[in-house]
Amino acid sequence: MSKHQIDMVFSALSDPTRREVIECISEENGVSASQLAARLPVTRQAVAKHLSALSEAGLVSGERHGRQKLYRLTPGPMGDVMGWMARVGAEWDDRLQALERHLASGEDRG
Amino acid sequence: MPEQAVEREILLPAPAGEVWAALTDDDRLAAWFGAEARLELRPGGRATFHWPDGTTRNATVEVVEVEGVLILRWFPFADDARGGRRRQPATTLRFLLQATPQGTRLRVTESAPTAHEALQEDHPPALEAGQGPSHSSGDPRASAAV
Repeated sequence: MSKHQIDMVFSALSDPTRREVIECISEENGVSASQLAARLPVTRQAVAKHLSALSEAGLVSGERHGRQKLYRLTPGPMGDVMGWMARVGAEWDDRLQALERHLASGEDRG
Repeated sequence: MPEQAVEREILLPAPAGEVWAALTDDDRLAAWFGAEARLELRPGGRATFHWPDGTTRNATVEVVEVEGVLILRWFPFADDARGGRRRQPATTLRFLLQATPQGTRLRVTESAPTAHEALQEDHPPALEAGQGPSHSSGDPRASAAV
């Protein structure tokens, strides 16, 4: 893996929406850009842009099935690590938001 | 071997004692963590997490520095009947608290020693699906040698 590729992996993962895209892809065995757009709070165009960044970083690959292009995590070590990081990262994003709310609600109770 | 890690940092508008209580008190932990937790708050203590979907994950408490550091060693899920989503290697979970004038900076790190190999262990054996765990043939010399 070249330094350029490593940089791209980190830049691809630094964006929360791209992490969500990876998480969605890691849960499905092949998912189209339209399906991703339906599940994420972003436009189809934005999803396409994220998918292109992720493909360029070698994290996802798209394969044409009829009229649709289905995206998967690139198999192999990088794909597994990315899938794990996306899943665990999403869990912590949710938990820390909940922790913040929990602490705020404690303040309200005084 | 490279380590795979997820790290998050958040500035919480609460004093460190309050954040520490939210992390270590079973009832308060359950209120935000997403799982019922039982924590023996001492090095070597046991911890158990029960998720609403019926999955369970056990852990060992490794480091306890009140209002500063909490480190748990999380074992893979105990009952993994649901497959894919719960696929997880053993991981180390670190909470670092730092008091600041604005509140408490909390850094959470969850890491696993090796990515690929650790995850592969949990993969269902593709070629032996449905056959259960593989056993060595009933060669008595094999068992005698153990």
